[in-house]
Amino acid sequence: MKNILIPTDFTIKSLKLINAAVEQFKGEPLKIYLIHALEPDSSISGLLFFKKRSKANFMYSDSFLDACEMLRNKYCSALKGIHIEFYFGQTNSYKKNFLEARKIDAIMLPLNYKFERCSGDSRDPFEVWRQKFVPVQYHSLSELPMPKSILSESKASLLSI
Amino acid sequence: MKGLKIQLKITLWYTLLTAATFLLFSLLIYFFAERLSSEDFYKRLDIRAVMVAHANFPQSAASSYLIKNLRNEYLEKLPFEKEYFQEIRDENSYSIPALNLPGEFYENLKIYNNASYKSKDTYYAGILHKQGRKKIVVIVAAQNEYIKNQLINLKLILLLGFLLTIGLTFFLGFLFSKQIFLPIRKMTQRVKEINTENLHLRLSENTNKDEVGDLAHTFNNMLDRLETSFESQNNFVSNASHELSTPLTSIIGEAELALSKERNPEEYRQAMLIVLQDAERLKAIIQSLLNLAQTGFDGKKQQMVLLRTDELVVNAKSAVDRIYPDNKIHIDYSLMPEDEQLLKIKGNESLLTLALTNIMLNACKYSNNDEVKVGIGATNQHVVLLIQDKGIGIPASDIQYIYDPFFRASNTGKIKGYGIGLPLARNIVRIHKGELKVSSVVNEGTLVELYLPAASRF
Repeated sequence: MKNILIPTDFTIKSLKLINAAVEQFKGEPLKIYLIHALEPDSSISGLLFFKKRSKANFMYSDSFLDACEMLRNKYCSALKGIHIEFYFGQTNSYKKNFLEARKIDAIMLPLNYKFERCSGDSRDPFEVWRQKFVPVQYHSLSELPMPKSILSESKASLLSI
Repeated sequence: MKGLKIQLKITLWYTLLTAATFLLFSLLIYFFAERLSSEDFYKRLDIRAVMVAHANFPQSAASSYLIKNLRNEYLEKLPFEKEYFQEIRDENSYSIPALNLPGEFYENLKIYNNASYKSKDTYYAGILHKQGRKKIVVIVAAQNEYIKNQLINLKLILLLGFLLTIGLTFFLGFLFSKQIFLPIRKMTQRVKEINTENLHLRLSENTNKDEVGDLAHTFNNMLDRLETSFESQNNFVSNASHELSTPLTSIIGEAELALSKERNPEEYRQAMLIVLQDAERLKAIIQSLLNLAQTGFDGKKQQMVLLRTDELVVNAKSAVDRIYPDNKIHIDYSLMPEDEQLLKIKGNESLLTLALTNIMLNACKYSNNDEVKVGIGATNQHVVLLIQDKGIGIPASDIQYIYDPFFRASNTGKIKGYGIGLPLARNIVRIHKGELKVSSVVNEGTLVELYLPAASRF
C-alpha cells in the first residue's frame, strides 16, 4: 500500500495525475491525497476561529467530485481511496509532520502545467512541495489539442485518446 | 378551523398560546400564595395552642399567670378563635367529641405531636402537651379572614389580567399577522394581474432574502420558464408549419410543372424523383415528430429493463455507421469503471439508442465528420456518457433554445436538419430520470454530458 500526495487546484484536468500515479505504481494499492495548499488566514477572526470545512465547500464543484468518483470507479482495484485535504503549513517541520502523519510515499507534480489559483489564499504547489522529504515525481499532463476553454475544464478532459 | 384565513388562524393560535401560558402562571401564583398564607396561619395557631396548653396545664403555677398575661397583652384574638383541650385517659381515643375532625388528624397528632387541618374557612391546629404524666390534646381553631380577603383579591386581579391579556394579544396578534401577510397579499394582487397577454410582468423582488422574497424569486423564475415555453410553443407551430410546408410546396410545384403540358417519360421520371425525395423528407419529419410526441408522454408505458451502457453506445455507433460510414467516432473506454455492475442502468433500449444515435449524429454532422469522442464513466450514483465533437459549436445566445423543437442554431448554415434530435434526446433522458447537459464553444466544439441513474440506485 502506497500513499501518494497529489497537489490539486480543483480542476478536472489536474486529476490526470491520478492516472499517472496508477500507471507508475502498477499492481500496488494506492491511497491518493489530493492536497490544496492555502495561506493560513492571519486576520484576527481567522486566528481565533480556524475554519477548514467552510472553505472547502466553496472551492470544489460537484463536477470535480463526480470526476473523482469516476476515477475511483475506474481504478477500483488499485485505488483504496481519494482524500481531499488542505495544507496550511509554513515551516519545513510542519510539512515533515504532515507527510509523516499520512505516511506519504511519493509526491506527484505535473510538468508544463500552471496551477489555477482558485482562491486568493491558494499557494503555488510547486513552491510548497519542491523540498524533498519524500521522492517527488514529475509527469506531463498530455495537453489537449483544444485551447483553454470551458471544454478543457470539463470531464471530457479526462478522456485519454 | 379549515375555512379560516391563515391570518386569523395565526392570530387565534397566538392568542391561545399566550392565554395558556398566562393561565399556567396565574394558577401557579395563586397556588403558592394560598399555600404560603395557610402555612403562616398554622404557625400562628400553633403558638396559640402552646400558650393555651401552658396556661391551662402549667408546669408551675407562676408560669400560668405569666403566660395568660402575655397572651392578652401581645397576641390579638383571631376571628372566630376557639380553643379546645382534653386530657387523654384512653391511649386509643384522642378525639374531642365537640369537634368533627377526621381520624387522620389524630393519627398525625399521635405520631408527630402536632397536626393541622382545614375545613371550609376554618383552620385547626393541634398539639400534644405533656404535664408530668398527663397527656393533653390542645386544638385551636380560627378563621383566616384577612388572608381570605387577600386571596379573593388576588383571584380577581389574576382573572382580570387574564381577560385583558387575551384581548390585548388578540388585538396585537391581529395587527402583527396583518403586517406579516402584507407582502403576500400584495403578491396575490400582482399575480392576479398576470395572464397570458402580459406574461412579461414580474413580481417585485425585495432585496432582503426572507421567505417571501424567496417565494417572489421562485415565482418569477417560474414565470420566466412559462414565458419561454409559451414562446417556444408559438415558435413550434410556426416552425413546424414552415418545415412541413416547404417540401409540400416543392411537391405541389413540381407536380404542377409536370402536368402543365405533355412531357416525355424521362422528364416525368425526373419530376417523380423530386416528388419522391420531398415526400421522403416529409415522412422523416413526421416520423421524428411522432417520436417526439411519444416520448413527451409520461414514462409509465415504457418497458424498463436492465441495460449495459457500453453496449448501448456500441449499438448507437453502429446505427451511426449506417448513415455516415466514414465517421470518426471513437469510443473511449479510458474512464470505464472496473466493476461493470456500475455501468448498468434501467431503461428502454430502443429509446436510449435513439437518443444516443441522435446526439452522435449531431456530433458527426456539425463537425463535418471530424473526430468524435464518446467516453463512458461511472460515479457512485450515475453512469456518465460524454460525447465530445470538434464541430461548429453552439453560440452562447442560442444555447437556451436548443431544446425547443425545430429550433436551429444561427450558425448551422447549409447543414440540413429539422431541429428535432436534441429535444427528442432530452425527452428520452428525462423519462429515465437522467440529465442532459450541453456545453459548447463556437468553432471549438460541443460537449454533451448524459447522466443516467445507475441501476443500483433504483
